[in-house]
Amino acid sequence: MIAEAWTIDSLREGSNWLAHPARVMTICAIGLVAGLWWYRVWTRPRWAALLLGGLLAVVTLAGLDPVLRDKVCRPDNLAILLLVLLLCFFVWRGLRQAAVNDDRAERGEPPFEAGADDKVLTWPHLVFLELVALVACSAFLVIWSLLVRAPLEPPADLETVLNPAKAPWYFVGLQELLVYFDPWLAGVVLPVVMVVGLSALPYLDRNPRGSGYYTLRERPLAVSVFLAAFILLWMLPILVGTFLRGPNWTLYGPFEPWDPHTESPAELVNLSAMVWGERSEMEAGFGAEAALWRPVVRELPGIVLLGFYFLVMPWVLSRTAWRGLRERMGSVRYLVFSVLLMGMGLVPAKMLLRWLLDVRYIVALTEWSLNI
Amino acid sequence: MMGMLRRLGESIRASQLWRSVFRQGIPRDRRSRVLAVMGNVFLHLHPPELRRSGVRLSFTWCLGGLTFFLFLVEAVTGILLMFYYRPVAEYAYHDMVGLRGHVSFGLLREIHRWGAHLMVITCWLHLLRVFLTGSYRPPREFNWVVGVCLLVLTMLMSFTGYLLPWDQLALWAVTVGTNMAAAAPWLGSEGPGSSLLAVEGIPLVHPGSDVRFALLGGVAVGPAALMRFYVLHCVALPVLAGVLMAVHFWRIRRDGGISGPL
Repeated sequence: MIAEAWTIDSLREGSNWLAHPARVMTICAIGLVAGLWWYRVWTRPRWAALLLGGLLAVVTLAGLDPVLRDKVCRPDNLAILLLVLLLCFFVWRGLRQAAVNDDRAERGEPPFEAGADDKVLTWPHLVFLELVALVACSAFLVIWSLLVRAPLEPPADLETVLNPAKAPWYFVGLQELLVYFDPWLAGVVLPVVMVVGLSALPYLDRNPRGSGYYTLRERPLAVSVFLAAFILLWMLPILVGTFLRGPNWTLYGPFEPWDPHTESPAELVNLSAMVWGERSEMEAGFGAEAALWRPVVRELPGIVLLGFYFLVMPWVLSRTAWRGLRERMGSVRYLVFSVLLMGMGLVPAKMLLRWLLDVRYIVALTEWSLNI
Repeated sequence: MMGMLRRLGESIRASQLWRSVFRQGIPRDRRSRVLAVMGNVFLHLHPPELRRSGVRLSFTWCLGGLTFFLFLVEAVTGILLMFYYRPVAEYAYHDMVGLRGHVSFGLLREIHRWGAHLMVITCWLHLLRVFLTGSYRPPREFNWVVGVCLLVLTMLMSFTGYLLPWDQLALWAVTVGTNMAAAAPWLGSEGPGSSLLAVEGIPLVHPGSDVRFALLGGVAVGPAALMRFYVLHCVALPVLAGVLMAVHFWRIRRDGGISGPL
């Protein structure tokens, strides 16, 4: 009995330790790379069933814990659970069908979906399918509504601050980014980059192959970047923000109860302070006669770093690894593509700087509320 | 007995009334099946014939269609909810409590809320499916852009609806969300660049004039915000989404129907 209790407790503690965003992100990134690399192996139904079984076992085991159950089983959170399950399913099915098509392509056969002349009548084929989908969806929705009541908390009161105050679940990912970025980036610029980037996709992706069927081999860059963005940068922050952030947006392990406690905040330093040290003349720019150039000079290390990241790196890549890509895209497309990609990459880059070096801001132009 | 019923059915289907509504009999042969789709305003969204691979469930999973269906569910339940709900700070919460207990068939709010979540989910998964099948390639580029706009609108519709219960959850979730607007570069009072927009030392962009103020009708979430979100939620955003959906569906047909290998 004592041995058992010890095992369960150490499992809990281990999971709590593992549930740090840095570790979760690393594990998921490794998992994604491995999943894309060996997509023809694990997507086979037998392996996938095994993975699903393992996942369900872990979820069931974790669900036995009352603390975790209390956090997860809030009415609005069920949508997140449903999305995670469906996402696992659709990513598996998508990669499975990609594996089938890629195998066929290697044997010189057309993709599974080929056969443009192969037509069927809308009535009854499609109409019937739509009717079934519609009825199934309605039934699911009614059952969900019968089982779970819509939440209604005490009436709105500006005097009583809700802690933690969380955005609706589909925006929690952006709220989680507030840990790493100022609101103007996390709440405005990055979402805009996301929407613009999504809209620009068809104009940037000049790959003539892989149109109209599932495939990974014929468009590895597009599919892996998209899945990485969707899973690691969009879904994962939602999960972290919903399940691992408690009062005051403090990090809690999945099995830790959310009793408000003040955690000594980590000592964060700006990049400029790391380079210059806390030299007083560098901070003298705050005075009334503050010259415009003083903060700029102070923040030069970060500005140079960002310049290198956004300008020099894409340029170097266009001469080396992405030479073919740049030639296929043309200069303008490549420029837009690199700005968007680097903008997206700023998120994990800043996270890494935070986790490894405790960096608060790369560029801290606090005078103009322009902190990056 | 059976014969009588059959004859009754035949005479109903032969009547002028029936034939004025349903031009076709039960479509049994190829010609009448094509006409059944072409002659019906709703089915007419589809071409009479499509590629076999596109009809396979595991190609599209009906995700786009389900998103549209959920939009209709939201519209119907939303209209019914509007009978009971007043977007005024004094009444809103009480109307929610009333909806919970006093209105018969008290599932309206549940169906509306869970349907909204489900619509966000199907919308995202539809995006994933369209991406993985490479269906945004020419000539469908613009329709993908329209789809991205619809995705944003779906989330905004859900977000504006989140405030309407006027409980603590709603108030603080929307406070978190709209505080971001105050940080917009140039346009938000707390954002970078706004301090540069000043005339003779008087700031043009301050908490009483920035985008958050435009969104909330105040510096914090209050009765004015409730009314604004209600109008956005019930009128402005759905109408916009409806127009874009019409474009989206029309363009699917114009751009060659469901995608497939060339």
